[in-house]
Amino acid sequence: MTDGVALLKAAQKLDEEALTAIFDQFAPAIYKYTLRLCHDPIVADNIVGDVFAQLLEQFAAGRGPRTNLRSYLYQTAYHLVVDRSRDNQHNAPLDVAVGTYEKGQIAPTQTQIEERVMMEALITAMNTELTEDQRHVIILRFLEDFSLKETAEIIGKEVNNIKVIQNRGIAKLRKALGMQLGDGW
Amino acid sequence: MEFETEDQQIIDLLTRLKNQGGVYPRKLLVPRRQVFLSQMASVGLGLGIGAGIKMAAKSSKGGTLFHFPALSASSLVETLLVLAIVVQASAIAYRYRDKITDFVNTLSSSYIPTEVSIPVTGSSPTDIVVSDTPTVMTTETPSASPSSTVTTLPSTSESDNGNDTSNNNSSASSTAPAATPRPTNDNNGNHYGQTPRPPQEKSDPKPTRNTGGGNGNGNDKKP
Repeated sequence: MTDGVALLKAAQKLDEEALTAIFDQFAPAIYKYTLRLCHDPIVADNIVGDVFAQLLEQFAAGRGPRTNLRSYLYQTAYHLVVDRSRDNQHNAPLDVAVGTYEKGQIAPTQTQIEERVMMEALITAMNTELTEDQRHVIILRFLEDFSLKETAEIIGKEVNNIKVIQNRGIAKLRKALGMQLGDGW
Repeated sequence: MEFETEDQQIIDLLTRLKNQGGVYPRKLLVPRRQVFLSQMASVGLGLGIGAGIKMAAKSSKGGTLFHFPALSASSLVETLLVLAIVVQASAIAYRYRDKITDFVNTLSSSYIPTEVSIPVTGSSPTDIVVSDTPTVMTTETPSASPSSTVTTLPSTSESDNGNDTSNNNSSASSTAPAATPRPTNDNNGNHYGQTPRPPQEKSDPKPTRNTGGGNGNGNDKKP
């Protein structure tokens, strides 16, 4: 935490080492997050570039994050993804390379196959059953490990609202998986 | 945060999903990092120049002897530039003083209205048809039910009121509109108050009670 604060303070002074360290630390995670939302590696890469360009501009203007750099970066990425999905007018599906096996790899076991089926059913349900807000909240809360408060800050809603969205999203997923895989899956 | 058992299964699945996929490809990451570094360098350069200017301004405000020459030189250059502009403007004004004077005169001269004569077209006032009495023309129409058309020609066509004096549709083509005669004096055409007052006739010395009380339709009852 102390390292993070020191890194942030150094980055605010446009210290090159600090900024490079921030990029190396957060760029892969931001890419993963945006790829989950927009499905396109090129678009995800562009969003990563935009996120860090905005960060630089903010620091140069004497603004930018003061405490939680990670939340700030995800918030910027979230807004960029939402803007792009509005422009493109399509529902950005969740993209996770689940159970892809490269050549030469050992054939999957029965357990691995079952898990793969469940994962695919989960991803399908997240893409088809959840609303945009529910998908964002579920991803931020359980795939990116943000707290309720941080998720509320990123999305720009109240914590109680985030709780409601989260519970409704989980209920929808449970119902969808029950329908796809049968009761007691 | 506590979840129900069924919800916990979903959350476990989501947690497992977290660790899968989404690795930043190296072929995308490396160029992106280079772009970021170049952006950082440009921003740093801009900030460096800005900081240098800021520092110079800050240090010049100190008013120390060391910075005095720079400050006085800038003010001297500024004064010289202003003087040069003033001298140049004065020289140009002196050289073109005649044109400037003419221009100012044209601007300040008052507006003189020009008299516009109305061209007289068509016939002379002698062409005006004047008839004191209305003429009744009876024309037979070839319709089944014979009827007569009464055409009333205008009784008088005064030449000084500017009205069209055409008699009817047939004669309109032959008779051109009369032009208003030019007033002899400086009369602009308005004749308000110039109508001669009719001579007052002496009224009946013994006016009856109904004098002036009639409505003019001849239905007044005599007592």
